[in-house]
Amino acid sequence: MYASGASDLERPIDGRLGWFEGVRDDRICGWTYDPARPGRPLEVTLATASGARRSILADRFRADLQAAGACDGWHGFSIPLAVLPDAEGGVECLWSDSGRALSGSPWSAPRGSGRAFRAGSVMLSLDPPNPGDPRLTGYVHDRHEPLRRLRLRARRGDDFVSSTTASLHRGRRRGEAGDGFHGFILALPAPLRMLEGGVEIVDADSGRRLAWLGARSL
Amino acid sequence: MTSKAALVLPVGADEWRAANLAAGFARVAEDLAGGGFEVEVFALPGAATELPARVTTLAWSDPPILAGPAAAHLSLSLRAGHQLWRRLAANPPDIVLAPLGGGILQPALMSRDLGESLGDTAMVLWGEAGAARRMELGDIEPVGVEAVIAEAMESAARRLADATARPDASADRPGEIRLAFPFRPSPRTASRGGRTQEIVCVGPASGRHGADAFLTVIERLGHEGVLTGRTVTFLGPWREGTAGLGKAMLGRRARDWRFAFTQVDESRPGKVLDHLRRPGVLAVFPGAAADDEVILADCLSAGVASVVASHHPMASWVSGAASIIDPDLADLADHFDSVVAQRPPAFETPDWPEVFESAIAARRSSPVVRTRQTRSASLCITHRDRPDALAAALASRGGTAGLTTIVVDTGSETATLDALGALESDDVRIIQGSPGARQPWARNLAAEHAGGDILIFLDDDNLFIDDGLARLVAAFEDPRIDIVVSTLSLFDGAPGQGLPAADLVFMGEAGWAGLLYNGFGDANFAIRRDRFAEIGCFADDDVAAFDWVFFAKAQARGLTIAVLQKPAIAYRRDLFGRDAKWRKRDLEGPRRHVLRAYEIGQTSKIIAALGQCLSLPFVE
Repeated sequence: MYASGASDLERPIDGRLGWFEGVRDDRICGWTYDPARPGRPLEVTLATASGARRSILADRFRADLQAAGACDGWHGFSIPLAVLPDAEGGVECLWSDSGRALSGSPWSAPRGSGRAFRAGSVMLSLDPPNPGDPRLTGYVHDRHEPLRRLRLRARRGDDFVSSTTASLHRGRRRGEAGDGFHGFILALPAPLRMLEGGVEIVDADSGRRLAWLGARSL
Repeated sequence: MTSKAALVLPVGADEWRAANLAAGFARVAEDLAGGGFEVEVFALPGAATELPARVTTLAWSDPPILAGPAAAHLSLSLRAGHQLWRRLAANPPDIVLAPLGGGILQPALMSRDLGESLGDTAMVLWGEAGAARRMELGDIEPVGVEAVIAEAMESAARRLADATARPDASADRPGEIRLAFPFRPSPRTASRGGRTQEIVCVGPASGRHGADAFLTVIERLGHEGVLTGRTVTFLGPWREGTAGLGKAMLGRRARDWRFAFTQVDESRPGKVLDHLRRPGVLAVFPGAAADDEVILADCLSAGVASVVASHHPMASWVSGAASIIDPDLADLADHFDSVVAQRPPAFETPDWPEVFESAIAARRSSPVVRTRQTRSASLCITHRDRPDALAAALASRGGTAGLTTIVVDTGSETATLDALGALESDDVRIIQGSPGARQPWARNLAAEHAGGDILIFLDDDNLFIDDGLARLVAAFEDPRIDIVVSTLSLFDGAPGQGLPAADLVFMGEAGWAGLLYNGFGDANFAIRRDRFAEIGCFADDDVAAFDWVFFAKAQARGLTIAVLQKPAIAYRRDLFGRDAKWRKRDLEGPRRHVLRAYEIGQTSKIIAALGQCLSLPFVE
């Protein structure tokens, strides 16, 4: 789990901190924390446009929150997507007592179908980005070396922005080969559509460019 | 005379366990058939694996089986267990072997314990890890009431079974017998020396199978460079879309690995063995309670180089055929440099026919504790403005000796009262209660006027079927039993007329599941009079589910709650009016009282957490 919104630890609403991350890996996730009462988990309410509501306690441990200074880190929430009917259409996340929305809320499903790239035997597919999410997600696979987990780098000009190894599991999708452990999440400094000059995705071992992405590429 | 044995395969979603038991029970069946037994292997509805030949698949029979308000798949083991009881009671075998996990033998054991059926049938459990152990080891995610239902049923099954068979059973555990699946020699892979090219962790992603210990050690070995040029394979079904050990976690941890890895979803023992027989493979069996006896035995028999953790249930049996190492697998790398198939295993070969014959003989010779002393009984009925239904209920009593009936009327119209007068007799007494009195109050009043040793409670719109009243009373011949409930035959029209819509089954002793929903029984039940007084009668405050609260108090005081599997009561179900009864839909009020009965204390935080974990319906 990423500490998305961790910078919002510095931007409280009603004295509280929190970030609604929306749907990740078929779970609805986020975190919230009251610095004045750090030992007390807060309750949030998830709501969909169709009227389904569900209240949950943010009392799950997240190491990223602990690392970001959110007390002992026991302030996350994460429930299966299936628990909230119609959540795929969008979810709002509110503090249960005040009814105010957490930062990051509402979440809406990404649009579009992403894009595929090919460089030699390497097949790279990129997902459509979540609105406002400064990350690229996708799947990369070398047809000649099925067990190879590619190391990817994001580069802007001469600067390397981030790197990762594509070993994450995701349910196999159409056109994606291998054993399923070729997914990746690549952090960007800002959402792609806000990045001037675009970003280049590179195979870190060979130095080969796999894709170049401009603001409107996905 | 030929003895009949029934072997029962598990239900549920654990395909690794199901495949292991299907293969193991198939071998047991072969041995038993060779020993002169007539054997039938049953797969219950919901079996999670490809079934071996000659397995009888039990279809759901009519009427459909329901099990309370929880989603049907969460109470699968209870419903499947009742289906199994239907089949066994109709054609009783001499002995049954069924898995402990899920407690699917509980209904059959309950029925035998009550003297209702299967009196001459020995019942043995296959002593795999139960729900509590599986949850403790991270094998079951706490996302539903399934595990607490299973735990309650397993607990009762363990208590009522004749024996529990385990490969690692020891003499100091009463009720256990040491048994493993029959060993079958395999053609041996040629012994070879040389370098391990592939290290295979055999089994699913769970602590029970040692996957966490394996991950820890290979990450250390990866840092030390020992895995360079080798592949690590996770062979077995790994969970998707779940927190904790699973594919998502494996992928995240692998971002830092500098060695090759892969994961292969495979559960079928034959296919798993094919993978392990490949050159350069070292098979690692790290689990403490691993459900892999068949695969391990085949693997060793075929000469696959293997490492087995010392806490594995088969460790003492495979010593000499495999390398036994500590549970933390710290010395795993010592076995990389020379992949040499070790000598064939020298398994103890249990004589299953002999063990089964002994169990049958022991069952037949064990004394059945019954008191033949005639007991008086009082039937307590609460009534208001349903004289025809009441007349039908009274007519359904049959000829139970020593029975008196107390009817408490709670404000019927004058015309009804005239009709009631006609129903009064020497053994039917009608008492006028306060008009509009709540049902628990009226029941307590009836009990106060009842003189019988046994109290039977019945709603006036329900009735007894198939000598139900006599069967409820007869169950108390067993002095250990305090309360008897029954499966209900549900009718959407007049009870007892036509075919029932469904059978609603209960657990009786519901354990911690009783904290979450009323799995104990229904308000129509029988109880010893002195026990009723001990518990403090029915709670007379404004509680919707007073029966649930009553059973919770009984459970908390350690009373024995038994279940008649054959329906004793025809129950009028108000399917269409249920949504209008808001009190039936409000689970928060009754649950507060139930919690008090369980004497849990400060509970709000616990319940909030449970509600989140268990996805219980949220009532706004």
